[in-house]
Amino acid sequence: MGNILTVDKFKRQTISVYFRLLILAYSLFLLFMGNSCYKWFLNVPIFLLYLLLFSFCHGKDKLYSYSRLVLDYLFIGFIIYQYGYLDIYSFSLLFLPILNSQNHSGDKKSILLYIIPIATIVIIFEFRQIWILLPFSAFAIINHLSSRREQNIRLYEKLNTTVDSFFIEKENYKDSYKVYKECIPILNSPPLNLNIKEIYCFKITDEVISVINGSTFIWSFELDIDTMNSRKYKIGEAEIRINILKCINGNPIGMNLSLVYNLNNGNGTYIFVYLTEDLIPYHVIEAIINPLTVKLAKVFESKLHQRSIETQATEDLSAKMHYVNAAVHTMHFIRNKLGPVKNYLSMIDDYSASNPEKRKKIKPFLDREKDKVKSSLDLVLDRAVYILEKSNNPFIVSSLVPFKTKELFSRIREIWLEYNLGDNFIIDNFALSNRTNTVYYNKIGMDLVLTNWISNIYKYRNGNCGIEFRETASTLVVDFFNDFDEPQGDKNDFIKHFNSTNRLEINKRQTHGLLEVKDFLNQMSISHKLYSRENVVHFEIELVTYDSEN
Amino acid sequence: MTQKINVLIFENEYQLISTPFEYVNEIYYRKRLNYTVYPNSQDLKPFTIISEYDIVFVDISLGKNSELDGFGILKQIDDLSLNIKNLVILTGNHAIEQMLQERGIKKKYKLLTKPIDFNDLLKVFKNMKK
Repeated sequence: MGNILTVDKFKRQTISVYFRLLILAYSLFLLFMGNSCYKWFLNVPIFLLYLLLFSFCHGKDKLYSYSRLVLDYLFIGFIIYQYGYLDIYSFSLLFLPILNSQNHSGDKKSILLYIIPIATIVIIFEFRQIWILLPFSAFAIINHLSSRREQNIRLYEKLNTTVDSFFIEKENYKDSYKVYKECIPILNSPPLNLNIKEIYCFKITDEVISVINGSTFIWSFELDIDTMNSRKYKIGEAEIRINILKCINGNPIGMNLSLVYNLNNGNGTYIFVYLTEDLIPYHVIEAIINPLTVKLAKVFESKLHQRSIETQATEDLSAKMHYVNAAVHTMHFIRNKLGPVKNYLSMIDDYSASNPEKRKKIKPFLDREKDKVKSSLDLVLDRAVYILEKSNNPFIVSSLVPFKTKELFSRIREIWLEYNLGDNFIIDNFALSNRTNTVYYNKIGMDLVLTNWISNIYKYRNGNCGIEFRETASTLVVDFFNDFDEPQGDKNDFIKHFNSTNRLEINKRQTHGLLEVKDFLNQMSISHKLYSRENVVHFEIELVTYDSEN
Repeated sequence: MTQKINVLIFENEYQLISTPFEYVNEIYYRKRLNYTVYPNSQDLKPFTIISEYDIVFVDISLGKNSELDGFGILKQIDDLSLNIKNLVILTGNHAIEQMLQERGIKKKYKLLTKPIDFNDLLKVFKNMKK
């Protein structure tokens, strides 16, 4: 059961206790007002027995909920009998359970609620006039209407919880069509008792209809667009259409109800088709089907967005893979083209070590191979130029775009929190600045620097770590600091190597990805420094800020 | 009379590696090496005559048109229990031994890494079983 329903049930049970206390207090009031024919020593055990029996039945469903109702009326009947009059006071006590029926903790909306007080009046006061039915009938009608509304809310909450629980499971997210198998049984069971066979979802984008999913697999379909565009009934956020789905997988479709939901952002229209054998009542469409449809449309749309982001990421990756593959092919090519060089050098050695007669035989080979070597080297150089050409390299991150300083701060915080390193951010002037400053960097490059450095902090930290943001008139300094879980000598070496301008020297030790961090920062023209102060390593990157209002 | 040495070469890019073969043949074997070059495995008919050659070179990758790649040829030799006097694998991949193991080819074969140095090729011919 969902959280809201659980909380609601708990509240109802609490109100149930207050209600009994109210009955007891009101009963005492009536006993003091009237002339009770029983003495207090009889009433006290009855009060205690009522409380005892209520405690036994409290919080339990089904038969116990009816038992609570009967128990309340028996007690009320006993009190009214002692009171002896049918006036506004005693009549009110009889009405208390009816007034409280909205808060019943059980699922009952029983006719007993009205029959027992009528019977009590008839038996105790020998009241035989028909008009006594009127107030009870009026309350019965009101209660029925509000009960149905409440029932719909509870049912939708159940569906809502089912959908949420379904999509919170990672493996379900990719098989979203399975959500229908969760929803259809709820719609088809009491109290709705609908007869929904299948649910299908389509989307129209730029006048093109595509299948989103369905409770059964859709190979082919036929939607009657003309019908769709002509008859429109609007319920809530969705438009209702009847029988617009004509065919699924080559099979004609019977009665179907469609809810058409236009996304507010203009990204298209969702059509949910419910195949049903019976008509679905208007109030059910309004209170249950429509909100369910809108919710599912939003979930599916968010899934489509996610897929589009994944596709974009794959496209980006594809460019990189292409480059890596080209580099690998180039290495194969270079290796093959260096074959004649290797052979040529061996033949020269052979030539030098041979007698004149053998040399004569070798000479034509050398001449032929010399030409091959020349052309091979030209081809090798051409390929090397292509690979070294920066514009061909997707890993070059030197193209910079402006970002708000707040965006940089958010990105750093996101990555920092992904490593669960605590919220240790020292913000100096940064958050206080009224200006909307801009800094320039390459998003991929900055992500690589941040991920690389923060993952190193995560691996090698020794307690204290955090980030300080400082803003000067023209720069933003981000200072990553952390204790370093390595001996002092190693720490000094690490800093020395990082600050070295000699790439080979950096490569000499275990780099912790230092070379890449330096490379990317240099490509983005972001100045940086690494130093140690009071046994804490500080890594500062300094970005030039620009006032974006200018 | 000097006897010819029959050499079978499965290689789809023979022109790229022909120099060391021609060199060794002309300079060191006085053209006694009789090369038969097939770019595809199916060119050898019937396959069993492979055992009649004195030495067989198999390029491990071969071309797309070949029914069997080098691994397939080795597997076929294994499956048919053919007795090959000398078999040398031509490859540009230094991790080929692990790949052979992964393909279930347990028998050890000589390897000749491309690009081929004629000295390495010469050693292969000198050390071949008669």
